[in-house]
Formats: sequence, C-alpha cells, structure tokens
Amino acid sequence: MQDSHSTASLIQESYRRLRQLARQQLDAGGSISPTDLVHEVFLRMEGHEWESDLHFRRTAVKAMRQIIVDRARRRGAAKRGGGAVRVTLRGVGEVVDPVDALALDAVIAKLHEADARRGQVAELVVFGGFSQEEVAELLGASVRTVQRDWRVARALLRAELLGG
Amino acid sequence: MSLSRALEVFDAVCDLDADAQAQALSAEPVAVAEQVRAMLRADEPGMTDLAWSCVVTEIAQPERVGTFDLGRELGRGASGVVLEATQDAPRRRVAVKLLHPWLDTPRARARFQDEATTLAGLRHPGIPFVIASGVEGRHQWMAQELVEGPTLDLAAASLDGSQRLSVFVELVEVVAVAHAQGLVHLDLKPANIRLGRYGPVVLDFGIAQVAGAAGLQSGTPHYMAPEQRDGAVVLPAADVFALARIGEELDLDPRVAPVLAAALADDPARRPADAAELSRRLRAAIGEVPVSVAIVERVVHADVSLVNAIVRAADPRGETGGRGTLLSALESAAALADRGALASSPTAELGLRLALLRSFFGRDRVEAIQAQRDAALALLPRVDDVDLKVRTLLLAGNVARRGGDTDQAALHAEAAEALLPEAHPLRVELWGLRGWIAWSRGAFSEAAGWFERAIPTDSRAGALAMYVACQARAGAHEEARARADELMALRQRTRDPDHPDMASAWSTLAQAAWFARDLPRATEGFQEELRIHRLILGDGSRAGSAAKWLARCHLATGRLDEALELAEYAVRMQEGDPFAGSSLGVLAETLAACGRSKEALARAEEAFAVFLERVGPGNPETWKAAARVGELGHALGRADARSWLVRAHDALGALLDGDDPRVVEVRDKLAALEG
Repeated sequence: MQDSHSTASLIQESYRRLRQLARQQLDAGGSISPTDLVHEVFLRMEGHEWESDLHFRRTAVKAMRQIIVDRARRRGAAKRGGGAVRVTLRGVGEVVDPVDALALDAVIAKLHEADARRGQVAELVVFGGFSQEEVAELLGASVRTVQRDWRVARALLRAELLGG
Repeated sequence: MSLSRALEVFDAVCDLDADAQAQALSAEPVAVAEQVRAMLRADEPGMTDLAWSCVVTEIAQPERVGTFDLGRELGRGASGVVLEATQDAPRRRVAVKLLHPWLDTPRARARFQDEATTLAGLRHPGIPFVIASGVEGRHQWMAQELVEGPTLDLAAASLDGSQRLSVFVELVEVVAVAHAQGLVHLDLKPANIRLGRYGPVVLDFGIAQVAGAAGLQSGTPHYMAPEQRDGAVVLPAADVFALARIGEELDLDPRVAPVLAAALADDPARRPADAAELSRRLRAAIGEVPVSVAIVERVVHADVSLVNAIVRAADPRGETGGRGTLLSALESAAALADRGALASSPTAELGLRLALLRSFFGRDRVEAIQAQRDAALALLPRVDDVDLKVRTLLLAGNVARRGGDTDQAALHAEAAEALLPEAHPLRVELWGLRGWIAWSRGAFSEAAGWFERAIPTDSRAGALAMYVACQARAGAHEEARARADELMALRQRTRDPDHPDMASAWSTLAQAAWFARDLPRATEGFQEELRIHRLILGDGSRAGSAAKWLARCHLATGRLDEALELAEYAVRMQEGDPFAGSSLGVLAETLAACGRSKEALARAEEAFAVFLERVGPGNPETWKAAARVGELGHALGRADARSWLVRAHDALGALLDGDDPRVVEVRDKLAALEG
C-alpha cells in the first residue's frame, strides 16, 4: 500500500511522461493518438502499486486533454504561419471530419458543466479511447448507463462540431 | 440551464418516432427544442459501441510555397484553407489553396494533381485560372487567379429579379464549360460562387473529389443530390441538382420553375443530363437574358470609353432606356458596395469608380463631384494594397482636380508619387494627373510636358489629345495642328464615324484650328463633335461644351443668331459643370455682339461668380472672366469697370508670366480704357 504522497508523485511523473511523448510526436510533424499515449504511459507505470488504478487512468486522460489544449492555444496565438492543432475523431469504420482541438475541448467542457457524468464519459471516450466496460468501471456505473450516456454525448458533439 | 434540459429531453425522445418526437418537443422552450433537434439530426442510433477516439495533428502552415509568399487567410473549409499570396515574378496577388495535411493520401495527391492539370486546360472567366501547383511538406497547394467580389449568398439580396436570373443563367453556363471537359464540381453552393468582374466565378472545382479520394465525405447536404448522399457514382447530373437548388433559393422568374423542378428529380436519369442541357432548357423557358450583373461589373471596372460603347450598344439613338438601364445597374452595384458585401479594397475601388461614372452620367456635376471627393477621401484609409492605394490617390487627385481644388490634387499626386517605384506602369497615370492639374491652373506648357511623357504608353490616345489641346493654348500652333492631324488619321483608321473617340478627335483638331485662327476648320470640327455627342450621349455636359466652342466660332464669323442659340444651349447643358462659367462667358460676349449690353453684363458677372465659386481664384479663367466684366461694364459706362480690369490684371500677373498672352490681353484692354 503506497501512501498518498507517492501516488501524487507517480501521477506527476506520468504527466511529465505524457507531455514528453506528445511533444516528440508532434514535433516530428506527425499525428498523435492520445489513447495510445495514455496506454503507453500506463504500461510504463505498471508494477507500481496504486491506490487506485482507475484514479490514475482518469488523471492521465485529463492530463492528455490539457496537453492538447495548451498546445492548440499556443499555436493559435502565433501570428503568421501559426497553423493549428486539429483533432480527427474516429469512430468504427469512419473518419469524421477533422475538428478544431479548442472547439472540441469547449464542447466537452460545456457538456461537463451541464451534466458531469456525461461529460466524463465523453472525455474518457474521446481522449482516452476506453471501452464501454472500462468506462463503466472507471465511473462506477453500469455498462447500459454508459452506452446511453455516450449516445447523448456523441449526438451533442456531432451536432456542435460537425453539424452544418 | 437549457443544455441539461436538452440532454434529458434528447435521452427521453431519441427512440420515439418522428411524430412523437415533434409532439414532445412542442412543449419545450424554443432554445431547448432547437438544441434537441440538432442532436437528433446528429444522432447515430445504430452505433452503440464506444470506439471513438481522437487523433491530434499539429499543422505548421508554411509561409511560402513554390514562388509564392503566403499572406492572410481568405477562407477555410473542410478540404483546406485559401490564402492570399504574392507571386515573385511577375509580381501579383494570387490565391493559394492549401489542402489540409490529413488529405495528403497517395490517392488524394494523384487526384489533386490530375484536377490541377484539367483545370489548367480550362479558359473561362467563370473559372479561376491555375497558375501553378505542387506539394510543400504535407500540404498540397494550387495557386490560382485571385477572384474578388462578393459570394452569391451575400450578394443575392442586393440583386433584383432580372439580375438574379442573368447571374443564374451565366452560372449554369460556367458549369457547362467544366462539364464539357469532364470535370464535375460536387460541392456547388452559393458560398462557392463569387460575383467577379466578368460575372459569376465558380470556386473549388474538383476539390470535393480530392476530399472523396482521401476518404472524407464532403459536400453540403442541402445542395447534395440523393445519389451523392448515398455514395453512388456521381455524374454531372449531381451538379445539375445543386444548381437547381441554388436557382430555387434565388427566387427566379416563375417561368423557370418547371425547369428547376425537373432538375431536382430524385432519379438522376430524369434530370437534364448536364449543365449544358439545363442551360438550353432555361433559355427555351425565358428567351433572351436581360442586362446582367456581369455587365454591371464590366462597366464598373471598365474605362469611360467602354461605358460609351455599352451605352451605345444598349441604345444607339441615345433617347431612353440605355443610359437608364446602365445607371440602375450601377446603382445596384453601389448598393452592393455600401452593404459591405465586397472585401474592403475592392469596395473602395468600386466606390471610387462608381463616383466617377455617376458624375460622367449625371447632369448635376458639381454635387456629384463633391460626393466623389468625399467618397474618395473616406475610402482611402481602407485600402492597403500599394497598387490600389496609388490608384485611389490618383482617382482622388482627379476628383479634387475636377472639383477645382488643384492644391489638394497636387498633394494626392505627391502622395501617389512617393508610393510608386520607378518605372511602374501607374507612372503614366500620375503624369496624366500632373498634366490635368497644370491644365486646370492654366499652366499649358507645363501640362503639355506631362501629357507628352504619357503619350507613348497611352493606348487610348487621351494623352495625345490633351497634349494637342495644351500646345494649342500655349501658342505652339504648328506642333498642335500636326499632332491633331496625326490623332485624326489614327482614329479614322480604327473607329467608325459615330464613335465617341471620333468626337474627341474632332474636338482636338478643332481646338488646334481655333487657336491658330483657322475658323472654317474649327467650325467643322466642333460641329462633328456636337453631332456625335448628341447622337451617343444625348443632351448633356459634353454636348454643351461642343456647343460653346461652336458658338464662339459663329460669333467670330458674325453668325450671331446661330451663336446665340448655341450659347444658350451650352449654358443650359453645363449648368452644374465646374467650367459652366465658360459657357456663360461666351453667352455674355454673344449678347454684347447682339447689342444686348445689360444682359451681357449680367451674364458676365454670373460667369465670374461661377468661376470664383467652382474653380477658385487660382485659375486664370476666373480672372479672364473678371476682365470681361470690366470690359462690358466700361461699354455701359460703369464706374467700377476699371477696378475690375485692374484686379484681373494683377491676379493674372501673379499666376502667369508677364508676357503670357492672357496677361498681355488684359494689359492691352486696360491701356485702351485709359488711353
């Protein structure tokens, strides 16, 4: 059993690790999948004892979202040749139109404010890429509820980000 | 908060049928119902899994591609961004389309280059021409002609029914040209269509297919044909569907409704097969197409001689209709500009050109000219492109000059000169403005020098005509007459006898003759000038100016009745003109010759007042008018006659050299009066 201090330092370490990986990927001019990074960090942290594995995963997803948003803000602030950070949402068998990272963040924030549970579902699915069972476990909810929540969240995301 | 309510309502109704959904939503506040409807449209009931995730791509946009420096963003869409750019050589503004890097798949890349090649083979004013294309990093790019003008969605409200109809017919014809080359658009919508100088211009040809090749669906649902939505193979008939949707929104002449209805058939086989077929059916339904916005734009961007040609084509007898139609067309273009539907720089240019054209057509020239100057100065700060800034300054300079404010005009000319690089093509126009300023100040030798510099590069020969007019007034009679004959020979080879350019050539020739005291030749020339102006433009300021000169010729040869009639006509026609004083002066002299001395003096005083008010004390013509008052007053025994002449002499002496003929003439009159 670890004390809370070492849990906190592990989370900090994982955040640092995430940032480093994200920067490497993006500076190489490539694309990153936040899901892959979250999983990679999780694998590297394995073997440590956790107060709560779920707590770590939730925190890692939040950290990843923050990294993407910070990066997009800095990019957007650059004056000329600044470019942008774009997010491509992928569902099964589909590539959805790319959306602006900041717009995606704003919709998830809005959803979270209106309905915290559905907001968390959206964050975990979009930035964490977790399965329905994992999300249900992470949030301590039933799979049915998570499915239902995701349908509502997805309709809002699509309507706000992709709708005419 | 209404979003939490909307989420609950969506959750409750998303599995109901459409009627039940509508009923449930009718009980909700409007904002909630709207939000839920948008979510229902975006809902994917079939997909229950959670396998959604995001891929983040960071795109550093290049600052330069090929030989183009990229500038500000003009637009952004699902397939890419469009940037304003500057080409190295020849230096010009172009539009560069950068495809989003996530569209950089091998298939999309091949497709994009194919489309660029096909587009480059198309030559049509309604399709921006391709300058170059290539790949920079992960960005595919294509440099194209920069199309300026409002998009159809912004412009439509400012167009009247017949203009919307002609724009639509021209749009269909543009698409027909592409179809004939095997290109389909697949994303036609009002936002993709601009009203450019020469009519509607269709942007983004081929882009939808490039996006398709990269696995992205693009296209805008409302304008998309059913087979396109279903992912079937698409043919030109899909564009026909989109065109018909656009036509529907333009609220066209009811006669085209059946054609549009057929073009909106769900089954592509039942629509017109391509845009050419649609165009044929439209023309069959409506017959000939009326005056179009294309003509408005052409006129707005054309010079005055082209305006003349169009006026003439519209109405060869110059009676009614032609000019009215053109003016109403110009007014709608002005409305476009006023609504800010155009980007700022073109608006400024449009505004300036409209102001000039209005004064050209308008009777009330003084007011029009004041309006022009105000418009020019107000628009100036909104212009950022150097070329356009210089042109604006030149136009503003001309406006000020025509309004009699030569000092202001000279300031504009200096500002323009400071911005202009050596050997810039606009230098010619700057010399022209300098020439006009000198002309307006009565400095004819200086003006001749400026116009002479402009002659070699002035294809319209306006500089030559002005050079002759200046030399004639400066006393270089042989030079003036030789060059006037040259201009006349040039015009006779290339223009028919009624062409407005012939009026100008006759006027030039006649002025050279007048100052050389060849009255028969001068009379003949001014008669021709008057005939052509009345034929083409009808009664107006230009006819008035020719009549004034002709009156002078008749006065000089003693044909007083004819001179009087013409002088009175000239005064009526030039009522609002800055140089109206000149017609009044001729009328005064004619009246004096007829023995109507009191009327003559009244007219002479009026002439002086008009000169003083409209061209100011800095112009020698004003003081020549003052001298005339003194001379006529002396004949009537007025006490103040001498002081008029003294004042005129002193003022002219301050403006001109002591041996200038205009100073000498007044000095002689003064001497005669005292002797």
